[in-house]
Amino acid sequence: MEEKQLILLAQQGDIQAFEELIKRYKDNIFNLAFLKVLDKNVAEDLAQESIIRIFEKIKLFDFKGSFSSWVYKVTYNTILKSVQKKFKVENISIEDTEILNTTEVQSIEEKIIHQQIFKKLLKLISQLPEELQIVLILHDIQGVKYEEISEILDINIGTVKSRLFNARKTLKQLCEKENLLDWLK
Amino acid sequence: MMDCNEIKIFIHKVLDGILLNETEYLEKYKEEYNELFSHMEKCLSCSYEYNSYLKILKFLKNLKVSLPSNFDSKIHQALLKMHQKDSKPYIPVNTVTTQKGGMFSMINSDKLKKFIHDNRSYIISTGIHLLLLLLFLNIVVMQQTLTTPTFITKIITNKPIEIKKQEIEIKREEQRPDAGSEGLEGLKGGGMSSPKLQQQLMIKQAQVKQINKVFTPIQNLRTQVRDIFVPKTQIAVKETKIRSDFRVPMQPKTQITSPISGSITRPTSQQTGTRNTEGMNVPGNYSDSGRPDGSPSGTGIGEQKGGTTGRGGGTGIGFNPFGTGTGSGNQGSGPGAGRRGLGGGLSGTGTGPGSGPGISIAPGGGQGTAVVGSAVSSQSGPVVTNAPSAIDTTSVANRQVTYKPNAPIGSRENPITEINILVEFNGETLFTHDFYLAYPENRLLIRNARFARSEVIRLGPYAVPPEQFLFYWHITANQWGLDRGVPLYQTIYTTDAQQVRIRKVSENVIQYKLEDMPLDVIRQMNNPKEPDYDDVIITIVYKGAAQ
Repeated sequence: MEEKQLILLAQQGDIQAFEELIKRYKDNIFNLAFLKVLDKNVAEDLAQESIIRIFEKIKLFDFKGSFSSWVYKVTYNTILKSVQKKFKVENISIEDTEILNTTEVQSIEEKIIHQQIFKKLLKLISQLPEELQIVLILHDIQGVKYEEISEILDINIGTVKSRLFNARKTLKQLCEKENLLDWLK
Repeated sequence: MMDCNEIKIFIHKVLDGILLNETEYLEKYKEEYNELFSHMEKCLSCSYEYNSYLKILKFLKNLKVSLPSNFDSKIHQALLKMHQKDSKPYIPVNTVTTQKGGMFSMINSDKLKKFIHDNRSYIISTGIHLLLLLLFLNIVVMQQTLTTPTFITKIITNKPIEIKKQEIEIKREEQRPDAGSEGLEGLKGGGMSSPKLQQQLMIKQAQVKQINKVFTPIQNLRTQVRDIFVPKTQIAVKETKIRSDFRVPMQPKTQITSPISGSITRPTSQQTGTRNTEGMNVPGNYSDSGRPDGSPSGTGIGEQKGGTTGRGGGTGIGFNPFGTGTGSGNQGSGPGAGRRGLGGGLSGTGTGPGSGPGISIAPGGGQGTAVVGSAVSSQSGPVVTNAPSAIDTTSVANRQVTYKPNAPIGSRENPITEINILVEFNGETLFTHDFYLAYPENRLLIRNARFARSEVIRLGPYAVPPEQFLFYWHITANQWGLDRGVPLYQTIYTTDAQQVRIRKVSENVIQYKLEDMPLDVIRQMNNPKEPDYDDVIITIVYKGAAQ
């Protein structure tokens, strides 16, 4: 079924249609939550909260922009609210988190090193200022395009680009400081 | 031609194209793209910049976290719960759409809500204008005593208006010459009106009073207007918070409850004159015959796995500089080795003398300071003819060695030449954790792991298996900041089974996980917790010369 049909049905309260719809976005929702809080349990909680909120608000979606941008927007706002209220990112350990790696990793040894590097990178990303961090996460990790990021954050595309430029630059400097670049292949 | 600054900006456009796999994008900037690469062939700075970004972004692109198990079912349950709690009855979509005259059906109600939501700015604007109009009219009515138009009066008072009766024309009668003026005053006047006129005047007065009662000037304009325009039922979608029963309880974090395999237990004493090849043998390089030296009593490598040659009577490998061990001297099997041990142990009671040759790898950093003990027996221990092979680094350098790629790492054919260290720091930031290599050489590797520096260290070559490498943390605790009974300085070796967990990931990767808070301190705390062994996690990749 097409996305538009599913949205219309979901707007009328059809749970099945909503679930079918949200299947397409749940990974991105969960990943965004995880990247913001760096804790799998908290991220799960936040992702659930975001999805419920999307269901509550879906009636207000007016098809003016893309649905994915709208989903990201609701998710991001939910996460921000919760993070400000409840969670402190800096105290959370990501030790237990299994990070998927889509590259072809041959050995367990490589896998464990990749895990460590990912975790270090995540920690470095969490050190970026919020406005840079979210643009980097959306564009470079989640693959969201400039136009959509502009819709999600209500900023113009020029600002998105300049923030992304600064985010990458800062992250590179942090990686250099940590000697992490030698580990990246 | 673009200069370096322009190139460094353009790099990001190229990266976007590469990351998003947009061939059209790359086609669009084909010329600049070619220029970038020809520039990078000459300019190291730009080339480094490009490669660094590319490395980082390729890694980031692959960053995905797996969804927790049962995530879908949890969402499903939460949605169902929310739907059940909703006051509105659930009407299947098909029935809603086929209902006729669905003025009051859910779909129309939703449409109305949506319409109101979409046009709320117009509605608010109209309301404000109407309010201003009413206010203006009210002022006019009150100040200029104009008659309020009926419909406005109706709106304002929200009460039915009685239609004003036609004024009765009062016919003037002839009055007596002594009669006063007409009207209400006439009753009080000097003369009397006629009874008929008096009656008519009374009626008129009553009518005027009645009309005055019907018209009520606006008392509380804002409240009244609000009552008119704001609907009794709330139309806007109210933001609801998720009730606690919708949430799925968080899973408890997994905790390490059992030690990870690979830790080494530490015997407190050693057998006299026996040789245990399992141990991390560190023979000395001095052939010293049968000196009745006291053995060091440190808790170092040599004490881990029983006696060896080379530790016999010498001042060997006391790692603990405070010398807390209680080892007794060997039965002279050793060659009096380890004079240049890795640490200075306190004296033990020697039972030497030992005899026999020893070979040393021994570039130990510390200065052994064993005190000579008194000889108890002159019986010589068994002579070890096949001492564990270790490499003298100087001799290896001068010797022809054929490296074999398939040889086990740390063997003679594939000695270790490099270690790559990856540090993850989660511990107390008030502590400083310096990370050292203790064996096969003594060397500071990472100064203050708080900054989680990762390093590539070249060493050796050492024909020492990775699991025999020994490291230690030197931890400086800020007692003033914590005041939790933490020793101000402590040295923890990777062989400390209480404080360190070791995980052999593969043949050449070993992970060391440190709990920097001493376990006895943890136990004495008000709320003792399980040690988490994640204060500093160090992953070491050993690389051989043949690789």
